[in-house]
Order: sequence, then structure tokens, then C-alpha cells
Amino acid sequence: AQEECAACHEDKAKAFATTSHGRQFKADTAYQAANCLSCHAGAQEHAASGGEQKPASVKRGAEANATCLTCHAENPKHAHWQGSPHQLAGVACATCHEVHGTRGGTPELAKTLPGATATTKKCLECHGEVRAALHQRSAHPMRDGQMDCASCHDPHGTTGEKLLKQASVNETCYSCHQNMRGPFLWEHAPVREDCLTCHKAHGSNYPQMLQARVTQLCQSCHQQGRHQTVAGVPASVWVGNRACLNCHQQIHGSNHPSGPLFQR
Amino acid sequence: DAPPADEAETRVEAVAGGQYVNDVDGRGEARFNEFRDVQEGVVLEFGRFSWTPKQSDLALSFTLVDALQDDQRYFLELADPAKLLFKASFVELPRFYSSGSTTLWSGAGTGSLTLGDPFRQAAETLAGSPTSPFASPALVAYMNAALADATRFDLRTERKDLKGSLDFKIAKAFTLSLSGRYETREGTRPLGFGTYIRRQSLSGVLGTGAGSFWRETVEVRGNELIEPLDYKTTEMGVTLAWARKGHSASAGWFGSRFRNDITALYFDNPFEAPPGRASATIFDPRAEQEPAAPNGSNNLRGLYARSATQLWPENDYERIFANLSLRLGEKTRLNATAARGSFEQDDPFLPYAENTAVVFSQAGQPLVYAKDAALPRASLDGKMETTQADLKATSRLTDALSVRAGYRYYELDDQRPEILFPGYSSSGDSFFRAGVGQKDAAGNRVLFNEIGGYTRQRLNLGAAYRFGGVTLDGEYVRTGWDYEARQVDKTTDDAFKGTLRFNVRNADVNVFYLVASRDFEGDYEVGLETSGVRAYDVWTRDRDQFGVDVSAPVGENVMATLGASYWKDEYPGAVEGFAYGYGLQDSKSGSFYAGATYAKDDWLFGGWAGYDQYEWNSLQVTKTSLTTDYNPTNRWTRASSDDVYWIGCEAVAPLGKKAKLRADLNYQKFAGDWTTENLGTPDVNSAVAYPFPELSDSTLTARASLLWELGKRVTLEARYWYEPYRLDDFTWDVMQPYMQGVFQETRRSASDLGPMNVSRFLFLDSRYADYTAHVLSALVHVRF
Repeated sequence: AQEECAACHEDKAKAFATTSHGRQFKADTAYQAANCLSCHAGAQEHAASGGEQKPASVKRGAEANATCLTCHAENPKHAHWQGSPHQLAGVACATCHEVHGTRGGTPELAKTLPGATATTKKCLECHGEVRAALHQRSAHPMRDGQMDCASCHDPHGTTGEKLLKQASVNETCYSCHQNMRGPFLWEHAPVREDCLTCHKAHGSNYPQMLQARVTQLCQSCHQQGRHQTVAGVPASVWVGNRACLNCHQQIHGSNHPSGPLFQR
Repeated sequence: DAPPADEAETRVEAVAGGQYVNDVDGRGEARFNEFRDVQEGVVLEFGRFSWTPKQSDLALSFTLVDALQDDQRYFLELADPAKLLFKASFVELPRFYSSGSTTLWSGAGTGSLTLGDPFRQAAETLAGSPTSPFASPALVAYMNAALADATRFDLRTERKDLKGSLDFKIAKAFTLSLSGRYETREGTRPLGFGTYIRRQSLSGVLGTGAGSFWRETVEVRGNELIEPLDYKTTEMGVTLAWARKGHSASAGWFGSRFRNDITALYFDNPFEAPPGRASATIFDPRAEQEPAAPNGSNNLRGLYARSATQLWPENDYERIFANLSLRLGEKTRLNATAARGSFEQDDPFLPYAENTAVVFSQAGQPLVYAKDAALPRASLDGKMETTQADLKATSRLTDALSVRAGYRYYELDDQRPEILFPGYSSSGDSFFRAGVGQKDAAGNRVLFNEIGGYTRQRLNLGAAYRFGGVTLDGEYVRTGWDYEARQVDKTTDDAFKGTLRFNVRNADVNVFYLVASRDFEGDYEVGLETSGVRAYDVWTRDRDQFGVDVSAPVGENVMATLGASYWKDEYPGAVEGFAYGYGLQDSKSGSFYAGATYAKDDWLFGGWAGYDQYEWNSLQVTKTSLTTDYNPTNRWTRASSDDVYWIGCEAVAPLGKKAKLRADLNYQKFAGDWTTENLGTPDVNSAVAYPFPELSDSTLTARASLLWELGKRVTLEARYWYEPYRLDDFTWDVMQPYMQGVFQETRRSASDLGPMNVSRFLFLDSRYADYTAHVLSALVHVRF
């Protein structure tokens, strides 16, 4: 069937041979029976009619996913697709993947203009709010391509929340911020439980990707001391520069016997 | 930009040329180069070598980005689809915190920051009378001169990340995966540290007596140290996976070892001369703090000329995991995952104090210097274990109805030992203080680390029903937290999400609404928070969330998208026994965006724009003294309101047969209000709400490339990159390396907002500043 299709679609057939699919079909005995008909179920009628009859059976959108899952469902990396947020939202495999176009064995990188990776750009087509976050004052280095969405997320589904690859938010963060793993002598409970209590994951208009200004963030939970309860003025040690973190700098946890207040 | 679909065995692509970068005004380079290196001169921006021999199933590719620059990246991939996939990468990630910072210390980048004794002695002497040491024009002049001559340097770190992975098909259905990583992170970054100075007298001058942090005899000095980084992380992993006929299973191990060559930072206090070396008029701590003659059991305060802080301790992490995925018939799938992880840390503790003047007493024991005192333990020998278990089932019961259910268990088991300390060296390294709010069995004030892990469980049940192109989806999620040492024992969150998906006139519409309610069980323990402020991450919360996304083709060549979302969180109520619920109040966020993509032939145009709004509100109260409680008349609110506008576009336009124009633009504008208002007339000045200036920043990145194809294998590119950055932030606008006369004390009276100033601050001047960057590039693309 492959050759029959190539008789008319020579350019597509040649290009397909260099793709991940094409190479897999050629090299892997498990897929040697695979050909154009594996996905284009109406191609025989199409060929028999001399091209007059369109191969209408090529489904579009999420309906086409079943075709892809015929082979890909058994890949452990796709074991969590069913029931995942993307599957539930009706995202189609072809929304992100180019079945015929991408050459196998090459990382996807933007080339002509420096910037975010192709993976990030693809995700941003739907996740507009993240696009804004990446350009905010404090953000992970995604707009320049050093990280991309797939650094933390697996779009095909995971056991964790928010499609995170790791078991929890914190274990995701520890993948790069290994120094913060601890455990420490003095633990800060909200820090240990969820980095997102204080930080935003994608970008923030406050330094260190914080949810809010340091003073306000800390005062949301702390006002037992006297200095913690001050309304403050712009030019004060409680507000300026690192604000509370001017002194309580080890806020993620301290291993110093004299660091119960995270000051050292 | 997919490579040509030819059948050549060997292909090489490269983008190289020359680049001009304008002077981005010194300090601005920090932000401009925050995570990247935009180099002037010759650049090799991109390169790829790929080899796909016809006589073999192998495919090899090697890709480089920004070669030989500080943000260089290299990727190697070797694949044989039926047998193996090997990937390796080396990535450098710079991070600029500032360029041209200023420091008086020597030893930046090491574990010891030192100041010359003559310098410090002169500063102390010039400070003049201890009753008013801070308005000394001579000291200001002296410090300004010192800073003018001080070392200027860049605060920057550099990650170097080497990774490799191998997926190898060891049998028909089995794949063995190995991974390894070695990462280093070196350099410097700013680190806050509160240094303290002791007032000359225990009475008189600015508010002695009780009730005000400022009015005590120890006074804070804001400081920024130079934190050295010398990290090394080694990681390895192995996974065995099996997949056959829709079933799959995998199991593996992952280990990570974090090592830090500098786990402590010693530094000279820039505000204090070493004892005995200062002028005779300067307070000598040892006069009052000899162990034989303490001046009070809890008031042994002294200067410190040198201190130390702990940096990140070394740690080990391990994780084992297994997954089983079963296909039950054509319609049902079951997934089970289990994982167990452990964090361990056993770095030696530093002494209580570095300040040799600090002493402490224990009942029945002679007074000793804290620096030499024996610690209860030499190290933490701490461990935390995590356990994760997931069960998930999905089934399509009929063509129209599918259901799903899941259960997740996550436990963090805190296995650290509880360690009882007699107290700690407080206020930097100024005096030894007994525990805060903690007592031992005998009623003595002590200090111990609270041990507390937590368990999180999540149950979700969902169903989707499809009829005539419309899908109705409903999901219920219950999440429960069980804490060992928080303000509450348990917190439970119930959420219901309803989603409607349909297609109308070729437009895909996705609408959802979520309503959630979080509550806790039992009493809320305020602990030290004597005003009853509520920790917002465990307190009662009502959440409403709404979202809509629409994507629709417009004609044959345009795809348009539209989206909006809104959420609101409310934190109602007050802790039992308290009249007011202080802390976080209602917070909400809304966003709207629209985009469209036009694609026809070689033309492409995509544009998008959006608006986000975010509000965070809190209610606070000022404590008026050490002994009295909070007076409601001193309540005040604080609200932050962020408005973010963003727009972007990307375009490709053919200019004749040989040339094309590519361009992209991203603009983000942020404007934030930070407001504080009194609800009544405060009776203490420190509760007075003063206005805060507006915050704003904007980032624009605009790039345009003209590409001219000279032949099938050579293309010329001329590129212009324009990037202005603007930041207006009141917390940094007034920042100076030496802050005398800038920060103002507000505690005594409203008139303190004038020139009266009691504080000195020494910062590194580490910040990002405005810049306008222009980058011109002339590049050649070759491929053969």
C-alpha cells in the first residue's frame, strides 16, 4: 500500500520516510505491517477512484486520537492519557504533533529567531495566560529556551496534579533546586508542603516569582511580633529591598542551631 | 523551518555570523543577560549535524545553540527505532543578579567576607557620640568615599548541566532506561542578613523601654551579603518498562546527591569594629558580658564584629517507583502507581554563635560563651520519607458515556529527631535568648524543632456524557490534608467542576465552572500568632472559578481563539475567641485573551493579546506593646492589585521568490497598586497607613529578520532585535549601597518622616535597572 500511495504522493512518501513514524515502521519488526492504511482507512477507495473519492475516513480533532492510541496506548509514557486534563478537554494528538512533518531524531528548537522552544510555543497556543507570565519581571527562563513546558509537565498525563512529572509540586521544584530539599533543622511548614504557597510557577511581577510583595505575603500569616505588625512606609527596612527577607533570609529552612527564625 | 525532505545521508545546518550589541548601560546588562548571553562579535547561533545512513537504521544528530557562549547548549541524539535511543545534552544557564554591584568586603565568592580593621575602627570613631551616632556628616562622607573606591563586581551564577539517557530495548516487550546527570552551580548571589548594633545606653535616646522593636537596645541593620555558590549534583536513574497488547508496567529507581563545597559564610559586621580595637568612646561588650558578671538572665547583649550564617546543607534524595497499566477489554483502563522517596541531610551544625561575647546560662550550669558551648547534637541526621500511591480507572461504558475514578495518597513522613536547645543566639549574633513560646517539661523556656509531616489524599469521580456533538462533563474532587504540626489537624477541600463542550458553526467551545469549599476540623491553634491571624493555606476557603475557551476557523485560512477565566477565593470567619479574622481576605483574578492565526501558502501571521487582573487583600492589626494586646483601632488593610496587559505577534511574509520577512513581538505592561488604609484612627504611629507609590514595569521584545535565499543551501539573514525594559519599584528606587539618611524611622512620631533617621543599611546595590538594547545581526544559514 505504501508504494501505491507513493505513486501519486511521492513527496509526502519521501518526507514520511525520514520521520519518526517512517523510521519506526521501517526498522521495528513490530510495526513492519504498518503503512498508510494504518491511519488512512479510506485510502484504498481513494486510490481505486483515481483520486476522485476523498479519503473521508481520516478523522479530525480528538476523534482521531483513537487511531493514534491504537499503537501509542501501550507506551508506558501514555498510560495516563485517559482521564488526563488534556484528554478531558478534547485535545487532539494532532493539535501538537505533526504526523508527517517532523524529522525523527532531532530535537525541536527554534532556529531563525532566538526564543522559546517549539514545545513551549506549542503549549502557548492554548495557554495564553502563561504567555503573559513568561514575559513578566520574574520568570523561569522559558522565553529564551533554556527551559520549556516539558521540563516540568508531561502533556500526556501523569499521576500528579497539573500534569507535573514529579509526585508533587515540591518534588518538581527540587528537580532543579536540589539545594532546597533538606530536610532542615528548622522547617517552615508551608514551604515544605507547597512551594506555590508563596511562589508562582510561571512568572510574576514581583521578585523571585512571588505571589505578592514580600511584606504582604509574610504578614498574611505572621503578626505575632511587634515589627511584623507595622503598616510601614515605602522607605523602611520592612519594605525596602528584600523586606522581611532582609533579615529572615533562610526562609526555606535553616540548619543553624541559632536559626529558628530563619535568620541564619 | 523543517529541513528539506531529501534522502541525503549526511546533513549539516548552521547559522553563524556577526552581531553588534549596543551598550545597555552597564547595570542594565544584568536583566538583559539575566538568563542568556547576547554576545557581541562572531556568533555560532545554531548548528546541527545529522546522519541517517541508508544501510542502517541508525540516526545520529548533534545540535548546538549559542556555541561557546555563557548560555551554550549542545544536544546529541542517537536512535535506532527498534533498539535504542540515546540522548545527551550539555546546557549552561547563566543567571545575572546584577552587574556593577558594590561591596566593602573582600573575599566575594568565598566563604569568608572580611573588612579591614582600620576601616571599621575609623567608621566607629567617626560615628561620634553613641547617643546620636547616625547623623554624623563625617561618617557619611567617610562611607561615601569608601564606597566610591569599593570593589565593583557582578553577582552571577552559572549552571552547567550534563545529562544523558539511554532507552534500550532488551527484549521484544521490555525497555531498559538509564539516565545520569551531573550539574554544577557556581558563582555569587545576594543574601540578606540582619546585622545588629547595640545602643550605648539601656535607657534614654530613641524609645528605650518596652513596646517597640526599634526601641530596644539592639537595633537592626539591613545588610546584603555575597552568598557563594559551589554546588555539585549527581543523579542517576534506572527504569525497566514492559508493554504488550495495551498493557504496560514499569519500575525504577532514581537517586540524587547534592553537594555544597561552601556550607557556611563567615563575615565581618560592617557596622561594628572588633572589640577592643575601637575608639575608647565606643561601647565594649565584654565589660558587661563577662560570664562572671552577666547583666541579666535574658539580656546579655553585645556587639559582634564577625558572624556566620549557614548556607545550604548537603543532602541525598532517593526514589523508587512502579506503575502498572492494564487494558480491560476495549473500553476500560486501570492504572496503579506507587512510589517511595527519601530526603536525608546530616551536615555538621555550626556553633550557636560566632560572636565571642555572647554567653548563655543553663540552670545549675556555669555561664559559658555560646560559641564554645556544646550542642545537644553535632548534626541533624534528619530524614523525610514520601509515599505516593495512585489508582486510576477510566471506562467508556457506552459510546456516549464514559466514567473515571481516581484515588491518590501522598504522605510526607518527617523522621527528623526532635532536638531540645536551651535557646539561640539572637538578633544576628547579639545575645542569647531562651526559646520563644516553648517550654520543656519542667516549665523552662527552651527551644526545639517541631516535627511534623502531613498526609494528602485525593479522591476524584467524574463522568462525561456526549449527545449530538455536545459533551457534558462533571467531576467531584475531595482533597484532604492531615497535618502533624500545623494550626489545624485536618483540612478538607470539596470541589465540583462542570464542563460543557460543544461545536457550533465549526467553533469549538469549552466552558467550565468550579465551585470549591475548604474547611478544617477541630480547633485552630494560633500558636505564637496572638492576634489570631489565620494561615491562609490551611484556613477555610470558598473558591469559585469560571473559564471559557473558544477556537474557531474563520474562513479557510484563519483560526481564531478566545478565552476568559475568573476565580475568586474568600477566607471567611475568625478564629474562635477572636473578633476579627486577620490575614488574607478575598482574592480574585480575571483574565481575558484573544488570538488569531492566518496561514496561507508561505504567509503566516499570528497575533494575540490579553489582560490579566489579580487582587490580593489582607486585614492586619498593629501590636502596640510587649504587654498589651492588639487594639482594633489600629487595624489596617493592605491590598495589592495587579493589572497586566500583553500583546504579541509573529509573522512570516514572503517577499518575492527568494526573500521573506520574519518578525515577532511580545509586549507586557504591568501596573500595580499597593494600598494601605486605616479602618479607624490609630493610637500608635506605627499603625498609620502611609501611601505607597504605584509599581510598574514593562518588557518589550521585538525582532525582525530579513532572509534572502541565495541558493538551495545558503540563506542570508539580517536581524534587528529591540528590547527596552522599564521598572518602577519604590522598594528599589530609593536604594543606595549605603543607606544613611534614606531609610526613615517611623516609630516615635509622625515627625520622624522628616530627616530624622536612626538607621544605617549596607546593600550590594544588586538590582535590575532600566535598559534599552539594540542588537544587530548579520547571519548566514547554510545547509548541505
